[in-house]
Amino acid sequence: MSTARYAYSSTVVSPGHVIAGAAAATLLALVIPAPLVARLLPAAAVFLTGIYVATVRIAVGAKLIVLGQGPFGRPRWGIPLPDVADAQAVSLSAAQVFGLGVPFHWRTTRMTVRPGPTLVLHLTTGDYVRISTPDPRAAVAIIRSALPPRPSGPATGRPTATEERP
Amino acid sequence: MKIMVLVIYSFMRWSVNPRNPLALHEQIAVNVRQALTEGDLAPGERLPPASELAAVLEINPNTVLRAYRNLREEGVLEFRRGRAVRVCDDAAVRASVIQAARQLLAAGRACGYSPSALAALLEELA
Repeated sequence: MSTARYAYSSTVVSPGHVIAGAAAATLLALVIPAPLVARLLPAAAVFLTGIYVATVRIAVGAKLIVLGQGPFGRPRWGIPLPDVADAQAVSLSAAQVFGLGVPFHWRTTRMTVRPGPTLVLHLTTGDYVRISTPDPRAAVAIIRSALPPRPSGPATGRPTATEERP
Repeated sequence: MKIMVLVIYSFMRWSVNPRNPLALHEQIAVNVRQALTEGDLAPGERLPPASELAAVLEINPNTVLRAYRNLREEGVLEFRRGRAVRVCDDAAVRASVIQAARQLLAAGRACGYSPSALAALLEELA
């Protein structure tokens, strides 16, 4: 048995989010009919949000997936592999990333900053996590090699005969 | 640093094997050097924090830090206070020269040459 350990790490930064945040903050500071300090506080919050959502970081190992957002990657979100039911590499369209055409789902966490290659994690809790990453296939290969083999047969969504036994 | 549809991104594939006779920190350094010579890593790109990489590779964070420190001494990486570990501007050239020097050292040792004898040989050839 090989004891080699594989990992994949990536960082995606979208300067567009920073620019959009700065533009929205400027607009907000100009249009709010309030004293200067009262205008600057929400504008600063919008600007910092733009900076925060612009950076997405992921590190994938055979036992743990670490996700981080923002320039400092904080807060860091560690997902143990037993909590992951499946992983997929998909390519999202601009409409799916920026709002229109997104299949609406309450239980999806989106860490997507651009259209294109995206890693989709399906958690055992039923939640989905989408993360922008340049090579999602490499991440999927590591995750699937660490997951227990899936039962064969048609995907009906119902428990298999083995699972139905007491 | 690669740019795609106004997005800056970087990625790395890592592999370590505790059964490999090469020390773990050296294996991590080899991953970085290979990525540089193959063009997967470019000057200015960020490497993941040591704690994060150690957690996913199931090794001690000090091992990753030792690899990063060795690469900094070789001039491949740079550490800046408050910023991530980044690849130096001339890292690709340095990494390929260091890789070639290591191969020469290994070949010389196999033929019974000491490092000083190899240095003398290089002086002679230059």
